[in-house]
Amino acid sequence: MKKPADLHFQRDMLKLACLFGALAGVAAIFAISPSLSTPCALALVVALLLSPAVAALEGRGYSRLAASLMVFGGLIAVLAAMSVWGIQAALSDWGDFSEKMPLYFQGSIVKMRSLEALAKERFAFLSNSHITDSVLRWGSKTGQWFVDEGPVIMSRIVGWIFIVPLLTLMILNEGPNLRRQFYQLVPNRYFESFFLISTDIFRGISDYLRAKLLEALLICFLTSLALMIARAPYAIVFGILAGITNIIPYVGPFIGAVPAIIIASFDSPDPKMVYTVAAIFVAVNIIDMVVIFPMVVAKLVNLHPLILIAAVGIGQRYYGLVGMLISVPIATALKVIFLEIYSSVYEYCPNTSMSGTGDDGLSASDDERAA
Amino acid sequence: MGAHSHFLWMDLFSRENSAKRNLINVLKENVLFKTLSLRELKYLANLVYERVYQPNEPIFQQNDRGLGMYLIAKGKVAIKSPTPEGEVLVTTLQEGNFFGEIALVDPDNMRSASAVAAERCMIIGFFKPDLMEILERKPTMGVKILFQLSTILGRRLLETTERIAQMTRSPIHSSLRRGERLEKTS
Repeated sequence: MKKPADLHFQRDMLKLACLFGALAGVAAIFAISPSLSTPCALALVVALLLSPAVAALEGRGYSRLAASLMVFGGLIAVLAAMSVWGIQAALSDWGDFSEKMPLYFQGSIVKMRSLEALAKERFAFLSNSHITDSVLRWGSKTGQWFVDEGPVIMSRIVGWIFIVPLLTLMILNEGPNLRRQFYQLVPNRYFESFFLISTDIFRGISDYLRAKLLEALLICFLTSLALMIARAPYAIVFGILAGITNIIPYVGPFIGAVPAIIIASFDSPDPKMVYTVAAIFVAVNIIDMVVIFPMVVAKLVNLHPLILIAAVGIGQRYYGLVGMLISVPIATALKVIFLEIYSSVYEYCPNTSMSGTGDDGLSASDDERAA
Repeated sequence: MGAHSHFLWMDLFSRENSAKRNLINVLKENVLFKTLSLRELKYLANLVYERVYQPNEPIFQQNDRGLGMYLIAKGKVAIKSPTPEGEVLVTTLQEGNFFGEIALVDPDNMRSASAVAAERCMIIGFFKPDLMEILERKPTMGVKILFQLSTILGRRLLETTERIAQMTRSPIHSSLRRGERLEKTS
């Protein structure tokens, strides 16, 4: 006859297998159907960003559904206002920029060819290389890819505009219930550890996303303001671009600066504008590294800078741009799991030497039991 | 006689299902949550976790990291403490009792005894991250829970102090102290 402990172990292992099976099933569905996984991931990110506002309204006595609807309505109102007032300026910049794009393109090719010729004159070993032609071939292939895939991408984006808000609202409203259902699959013996780890991971990722959004908004504002003061071309467009690319750790600021510096070198009548624009991006990046990042992101993410750099490097090596974006949340999750394992295995337990004397494991007193 | 709750569409229009109503009733009976309003109890019912344990299944072990408290909705739980002679039964808790509540306030809590299901039981778990969430989202409700918790802990401290005082006043202790004094003087 089997011992009760063996029976519990068998049942827990079966439950654990069901849990991993369910997780693997969900992961497989998402992996084989990007049309489902991408809007779900986007909705999850938006829900994580909006959840503090929902929490604040819940604290004021509103139900979760009412709070979710209010936050959602507020967001749509803000986006509508932005599209009326703020985006108009960016769109006019963008319209002007797209008109002049062929000229910039031609100008860059001429400049590149002259630079290549100069380099070949100076360095004999470059005589057989065709740098400009290689760049043009790459540009042509990329452009053709956009032409071929453009309609599909656009149709997906239009679909997301309708699906993502609905999914976000569902996650905001039903999130806690979904989480509870998921925890039902966890075996009793691992429940507390699983609960602690998943709560910490969830909090870490959500804090990271919010911190990065705030950082991106500040970078966007600072860059746009500085470029406008310097009278640089397309200040708002490049400010927004700097904010977006800044989401990519470490290399993002450089990617964001390149187009602005190139355009400044072609478009501005002032030859010193290139240096001014470059100095603005360097200054904003320094402000980000010295003030914004330590005060906003590092405090929330709580990872050593070397670990951050290593995580981003590994993410880039294996999954490219997406890898760079998801590397920090994954590193945060791994750190939580590692710390939990470490503390459960190695940490000194202050109560061990006083076994049986504490009462945290004990029950309420008789009076309380009667109550 | 009223219509049966499962008759046709009656379920559809009932505000909560019976399982949730039962859960709210169990929570309402607990001293920690007795000052909460019905609305707050409904909110709390969405945060706690119901777990079913089979006979002799451990709920937690001594020296496990404590994350929260457990409330017995159904069944019995044995609290055991290991000694050099073997595991000793400290107490058996019944329906409505709760245990492990210090973990809600102690940052580095380690369970000082083991809890094992004495029979098939349903336990309601209420954990520290959820208490923190309540304090953040519904501070008034959080304060009510913390006040009840501090009342319980304060009362227990008083009981322990009285027990120590009684022990030190007992004849055995008095004679021991006299013996110590005699040893010192000699």
